[in-house]
Amino acid sequence: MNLVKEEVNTRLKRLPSIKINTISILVILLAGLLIFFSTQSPYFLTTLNITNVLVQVTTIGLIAIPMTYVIISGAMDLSVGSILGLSAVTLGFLYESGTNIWVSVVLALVVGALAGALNGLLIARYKMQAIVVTIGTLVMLRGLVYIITKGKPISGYPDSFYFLGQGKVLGIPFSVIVMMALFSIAYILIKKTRIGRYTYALGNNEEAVRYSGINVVKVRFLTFVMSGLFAGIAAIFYVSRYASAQASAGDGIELDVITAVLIGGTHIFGGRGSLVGTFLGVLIIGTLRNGLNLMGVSVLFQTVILGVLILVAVSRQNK
Amino acid sequence: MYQMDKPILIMEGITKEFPGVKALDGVDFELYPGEVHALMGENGAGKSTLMKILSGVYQHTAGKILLNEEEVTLNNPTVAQELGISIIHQEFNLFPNLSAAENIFIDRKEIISASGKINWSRMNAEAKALTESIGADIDVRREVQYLGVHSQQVIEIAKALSFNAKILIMDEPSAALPEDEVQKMFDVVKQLRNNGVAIVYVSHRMNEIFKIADKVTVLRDGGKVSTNKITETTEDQLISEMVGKEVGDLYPDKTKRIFNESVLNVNDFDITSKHKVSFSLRRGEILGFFGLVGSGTHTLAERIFGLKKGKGTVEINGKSILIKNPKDAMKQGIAYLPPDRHRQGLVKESSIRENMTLPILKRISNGLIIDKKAEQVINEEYIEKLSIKTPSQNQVVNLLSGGNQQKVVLAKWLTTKPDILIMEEPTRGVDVGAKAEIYRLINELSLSGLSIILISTEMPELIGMSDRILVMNEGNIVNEFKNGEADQQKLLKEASNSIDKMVV
Repeated sequence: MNLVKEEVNTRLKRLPSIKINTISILVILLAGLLIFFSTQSPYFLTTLNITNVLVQVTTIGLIAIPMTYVIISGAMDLSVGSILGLSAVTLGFLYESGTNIWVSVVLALVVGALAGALNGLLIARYKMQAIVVTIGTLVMLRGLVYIITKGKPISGYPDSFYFLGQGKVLGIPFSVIVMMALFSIAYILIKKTRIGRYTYALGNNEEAVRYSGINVVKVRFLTFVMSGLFAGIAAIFYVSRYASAQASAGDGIELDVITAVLIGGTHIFGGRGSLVGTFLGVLIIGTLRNGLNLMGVSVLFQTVILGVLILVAVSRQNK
Repeated sequence: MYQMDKPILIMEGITKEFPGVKALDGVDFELYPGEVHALMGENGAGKSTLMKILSGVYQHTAGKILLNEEEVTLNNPTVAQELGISIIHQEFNLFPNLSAAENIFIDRKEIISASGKINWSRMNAEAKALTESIGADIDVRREVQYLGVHSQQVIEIAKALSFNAKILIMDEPSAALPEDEVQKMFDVVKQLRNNGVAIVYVSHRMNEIFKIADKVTVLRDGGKVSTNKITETTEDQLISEMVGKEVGDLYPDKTKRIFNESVLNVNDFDITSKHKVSFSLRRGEILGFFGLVGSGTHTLAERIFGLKKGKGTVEINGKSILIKNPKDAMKQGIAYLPPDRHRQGLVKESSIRENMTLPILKRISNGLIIDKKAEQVINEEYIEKLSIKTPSQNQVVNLLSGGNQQKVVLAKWLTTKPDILIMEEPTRGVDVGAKAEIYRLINELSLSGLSIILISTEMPELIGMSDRILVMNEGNIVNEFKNGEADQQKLLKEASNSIDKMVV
């Protein structure tokens, strides 16, 4: 027993340095990608392309924020892509049936949050396995999406709505500003508030948190509601950017999101991780995709490279 | 077979150096066949290092080991096992979904025929014979998960014996056992001794040592302090040898204590749907609760703290209060130090600072943001008050000794400024020095007006600390002992009374 303890001890002694390493490795990796792609394509480092990359990552980035919380707290949410789809078509459906566009936006967010609440209820309150529950809602909600749209995309929104996903403020895309703002708020919440403390503690030892008089059901429930709400926010920007709500919106996006979070150094079993890491992970995925596109590498190969990246990220966690 | 007067094992001048630390410094240790030799010392004294060297996990840097007067090199645990040295760990290493016999003979060629088939009947018969040789009656075909803790320990021992163990190291063998099964374990140990096995018995528990051991060796700071026949030493002597100074009385003086009004009245409080308890706790009182595992003491604590659902109101300072969850309990000034600090008490991957303020984060936040300064001040205060030994409040809890970890849990609950503190097994797995400190703290707290419910299975602790002791048995409070009335026999008798009747 003592042996095990000593092993844990040495691992923990190394913990701070690992954390610094993860962030610095990610920065180096990102810088390396930027340098490499800039030698491959003269177009790569232009303002236009950089803006492009940032806009492209907003969908993953927005959802990766609560996903970081969810995974640090020792759970998992695989249903985010379907929730995104559901919020997107809710928005389209409501607007199409004559609801005011901004009312539709708010209701789409509410639907996202409610879907998250369903996950949260089953996982936090009824103690069901997060992976199983969210696989269930992933399949179920996607089915619902196809029922609502009957498979047809819903398009044709007012110009004011397109500002969200396509407009700029001081030359910076509005969606990017929102993503950065939400990342900053989430960073402060996890670093400086009790919500952050509870999240980490929950991932390390839920029982001890419960015995400390903290309502673990509520905390865990809220992480899933946030996850649903942010998938809803991502859906609004998605519809605004592509000017259309399709039934396939957000299909499979959960893998990109989880990849970003894991590459960012968040531990798959919870307890450890950071939003700075997640942000860098999101940028790395976006840069890689964009750079490989510019080089003319096929999307299929890009998937292979992302897969390898996941394996590398997770292999580092076993140490 | 063996000669009782010749040592089976001689460890001479054993020294073990780790980079930067000398864990053992010239330790001599002799072991005779058919003896139970207790090994005592505080955490960090070198007990586990010495036992790891003996079982082949570590290699010593100086000194030699003689087995039956021949020098041996114990390169790894397999070599040690083949030479007849086995270790039974505190936590068992059994496969819950395999049968007892399968566990005993796992990975053993003897029971596999030339064609690669397992000879089930032979395996089961040999497993049965092994368990019977130590006086245990176990259905060896049953899956281990359905067997009790005592039976699991027997299986571990049988596994060791199947390697023909001549030397058996038992690390805190009673730690995992419920109180009423400790006696059964003693019977097994006695049987082993009669069979000529030499037993190294590593334990913190004084009363056990005096019941079961023939000799006792005390280690301190990596060196040997003494080896004595158990009949030629006393508890006080052993403690002072372990600590290196006179601890004085482990327990405080209880004569000058006065109590006034009752702060907590529990009336017809449900333990189960059938069993209700009533008692009252007075300000500044230390009220002991004794009961065997399953007697309801643990449930009572969890119910009062709101961790378990159920009906039942308690009266606090004369007001009737319904407690639905821990938050309600904490609002009433109740705190609960749980029995298992690893699972329930601490987030061991986090720092002392983060652990200590976990229950009071709301209080020390300005709006949403945690007041770091206030948090540091609180930490400094309690680290000093409880003399927690740590280089800094940012130290990860896992790196602290058991005693200091326990103090962090205690500090964590004191930060909530409770009026009523429920403590369950407050000194489990901490060494004597830390124990004395914790007892001193508990006493000071009660003198300053904190009312304490002390639930423990360690009877000397209960008798030494409590002003009154209530005994629970099968969900009922069966007896009350005033200060000075209780002794271990009476407590155990009350706690196990009807259970015995049921067996008969």
